[in-house]
Amino acid sequence: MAKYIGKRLLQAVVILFGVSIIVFALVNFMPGDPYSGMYSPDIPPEQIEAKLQELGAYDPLPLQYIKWLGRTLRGDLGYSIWYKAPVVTIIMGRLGNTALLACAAILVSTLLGITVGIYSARHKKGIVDNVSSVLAFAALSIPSFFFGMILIKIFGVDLKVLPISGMVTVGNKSITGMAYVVDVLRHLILPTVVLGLMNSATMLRYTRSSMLDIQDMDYIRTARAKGMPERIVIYKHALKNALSQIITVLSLQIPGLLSGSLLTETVFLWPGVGRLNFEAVNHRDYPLIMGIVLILASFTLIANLIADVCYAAIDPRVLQSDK
Amino acid sequence: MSKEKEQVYSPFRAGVKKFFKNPFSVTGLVVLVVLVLFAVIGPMVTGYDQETMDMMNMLKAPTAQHLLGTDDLGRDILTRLACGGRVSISVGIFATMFKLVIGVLLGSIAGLYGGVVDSVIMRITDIIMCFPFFVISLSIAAITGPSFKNVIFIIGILGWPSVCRIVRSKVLQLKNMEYVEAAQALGLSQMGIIFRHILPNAMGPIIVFTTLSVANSVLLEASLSFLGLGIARPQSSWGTMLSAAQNTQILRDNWWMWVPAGLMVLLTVLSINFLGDGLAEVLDPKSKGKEGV
Amino acid sequence: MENEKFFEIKDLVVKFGPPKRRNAVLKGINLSVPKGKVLGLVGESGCGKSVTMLSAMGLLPKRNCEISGSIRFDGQELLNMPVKELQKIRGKRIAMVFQEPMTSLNPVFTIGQQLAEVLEQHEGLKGEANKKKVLELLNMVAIPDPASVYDYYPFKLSGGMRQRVMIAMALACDPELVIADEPTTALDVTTQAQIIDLFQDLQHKLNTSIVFISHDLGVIGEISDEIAVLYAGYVMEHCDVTTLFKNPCHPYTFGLMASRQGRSMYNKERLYNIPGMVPSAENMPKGCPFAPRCPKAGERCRQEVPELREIAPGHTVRCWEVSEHV
Repeated sequence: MAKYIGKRLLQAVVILFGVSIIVFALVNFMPGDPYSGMYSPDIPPEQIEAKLQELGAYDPLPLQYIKWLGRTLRGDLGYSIWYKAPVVTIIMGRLGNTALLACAAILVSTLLGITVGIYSARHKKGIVDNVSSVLAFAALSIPSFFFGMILIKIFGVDLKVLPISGMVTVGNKSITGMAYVVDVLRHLILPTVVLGLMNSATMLRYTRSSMLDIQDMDYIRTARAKGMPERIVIYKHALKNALSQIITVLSLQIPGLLSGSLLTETVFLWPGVGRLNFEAVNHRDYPLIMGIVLILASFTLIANLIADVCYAAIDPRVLQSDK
Repeated sequence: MSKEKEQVYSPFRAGVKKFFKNPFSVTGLVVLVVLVLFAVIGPMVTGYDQETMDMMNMLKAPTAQHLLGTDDLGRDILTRLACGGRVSISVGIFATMFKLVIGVLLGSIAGLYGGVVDSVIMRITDIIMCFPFFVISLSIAAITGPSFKNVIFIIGILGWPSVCRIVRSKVLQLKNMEYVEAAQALGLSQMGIIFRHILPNAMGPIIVFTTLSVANSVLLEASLSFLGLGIARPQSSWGTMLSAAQNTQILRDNWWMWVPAGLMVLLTVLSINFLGDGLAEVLDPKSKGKEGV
Repeated sequence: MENEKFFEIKDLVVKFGPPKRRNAVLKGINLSVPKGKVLGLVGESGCGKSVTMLSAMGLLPKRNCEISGSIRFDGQELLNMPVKELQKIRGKRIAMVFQEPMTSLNPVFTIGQQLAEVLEQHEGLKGEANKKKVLELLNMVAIPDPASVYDYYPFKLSGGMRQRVMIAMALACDPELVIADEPTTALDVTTQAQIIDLFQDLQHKLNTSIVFISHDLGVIGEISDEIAVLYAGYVMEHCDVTTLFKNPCHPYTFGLMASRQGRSMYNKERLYNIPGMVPSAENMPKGCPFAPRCPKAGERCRQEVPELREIAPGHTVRCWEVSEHV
């Protein structure tokens, strides 16, 4: 197992390297002076020249890259032009909100997708199966922002039962404790519905297809012949074999949640990284944009790595075939 | 034991029969054809031009004269919907073609030659697939600016890795078949082998990918245009029509300005998905539900 | 009758297929297994041997499947028994060993886990006591180094080894009846012999009743006390093993014997094989299903399905020509 992880880590490093090169290239392609965003705006003008020397502005390109890479690895991603603060600080500040939304969405999509997927597979071509198939297709075909706007119109504007934007009710800066939590939760509902329902469609399809294959396998028949109760046959024997598929989906959903939630966050004005990205684009805040790209790409890489390790833990055959 | 009952069908005819038995794929096909017809000949039939402004009739709800009402500049929405459809659907098609050209070529090369070439190409796909789509596409769009060509470029350049992998995996599978060995023994060049022997047999998954990619590209174009980074004025697409709803007043009071565009995207993508699913059943049964793995 | 009929199948009819095109795979099976003895079920592929025993365990698919008749086990009716009750019997009182050892074990659980599960479910064994019993079982089926194999995943074991594990799993809770569905068919000849020896050994030690299914008369002959010959969904002949080999009555059995012996009973030069093929479920001939291939077939045979009649104590045959002329 250790060898497997080591191999994957090495591949990840290579990919990260490639990602950094692309980001560096983009940084240099951006209109304007790439170095203007790399130092704090507070530096007095006399020291700027020295700073530029230090940053590598006058060095040949490869050296510029190395210096930039070094700074990046130390957590220095430059300064946001709009916010006039370090990029890292701004991103970290908003990351928690996106994470909250992502977790809620994953919770909903996994619970819904897996349970309905298992049920559909067991009762193939039944009513639940047919209806959920059509709904799943619809969920995959609808633009997330359109779905969001429809919900906003119905629940927020016409019926006025749920808040339609932001994470907390504006003007309520003083509420704390439980009241604060409830307020956030109320704001969380609509965006979670959008993200959760859309992602549950994929989860449902993969679970269903996986379980369909598995439930006809000989070892499932053996489990029944042993006298195991049906729920153990399905949720232990069958599901564990389906887990690797399910983990694939989850690992595919994480980058999707980080990126697709950009649309949802924008529509619902949720103060997360996605919306930050959109605002940065509108403000032409290039250092911030690049910082976000780099961080999110790294997250995706890490998510995939974790997924790979999980496969090996669940299905022992993976380690075998990997040699 | 009578065998007269069973007629022997060629695989093609058997596939066509199977496809038409599936109610979803047939519905998808029909709806798609209707939508494409609407986009292509709609503007000529409605009697309005998409740009004609009518200041007397701004923001009017649907009436017999304007079946889907008018927008804030008095333009007929139905016509704009059809014209927008032309743009959205063509982005879908061109972006897919872009992905296919690069992806099929690189995938075949990677699969056939193996070794270092394969590793390099695979690492490149890994790297591209690492970037969450909207994050990187916004960044690129910020640099290049919105336009019809740029949208196609962005969707294409970020999307070719999927088809590359599909083709590569199919090539790997087919590489070991005897007819490839035979072709090599006959002295056929590698490229020749790719085009004449391997690709025709890989058509199944490629066709399925094509349909799903068009659907996905339409969806992505709508999203990018909604954010203002896709199609630029004076052109309009369904996405740009949807961006009108960012104005709360329009969202609340003038549903006809944005809801039809959204429904169009939904219907188009949905019907293509049904179609693609039906095709997958016939052409590439193993891929169903496993796309992307 | 000294041996109680503790397992008896009466008039079992099983049909498969969508409602409009339902075909009977089993058309009326009548069998019994004497306690503590081995019943061999023999017949060509498709004659319904597996389906018979799968219906006893309630393991046939629910959709498009119609079962009627009676299967009684120790005074209880198994057909239509509620699943919860059936689960108490499966694995504990009746156990099954399947044909394909390569796919019958769950690939993502260890051998130890899969055996431990049965013991915990039916006997309530946990922890150390459970592990001890599992190792005992592995020993009993002659698996070398049980302590290591306990932690192996199935892919590490050969077909023969996996089949031994399946047998261990079947015997774990000391069942009264073991159904072995072609347990040696997927194995090579040497391993086959080993597995058969294992079965015989265990049967003598534990005095379990066994239903042994196979298409191989040689294997069946070695291990069975009684044999039932199946053809096209019917029991054609049922008697003890010695009688079957010395004095086969049914023309089909006769044909099977002849093909086994490697030379024709009629023609010493050529290998005998029964001409024709087993009819498919959709194309059953009227009358006796064997009639088209039977050298002794008469007019009545082609019109009416023969009844299963006892022609001697403990010997039943389904054949007009035989039962009419006794």
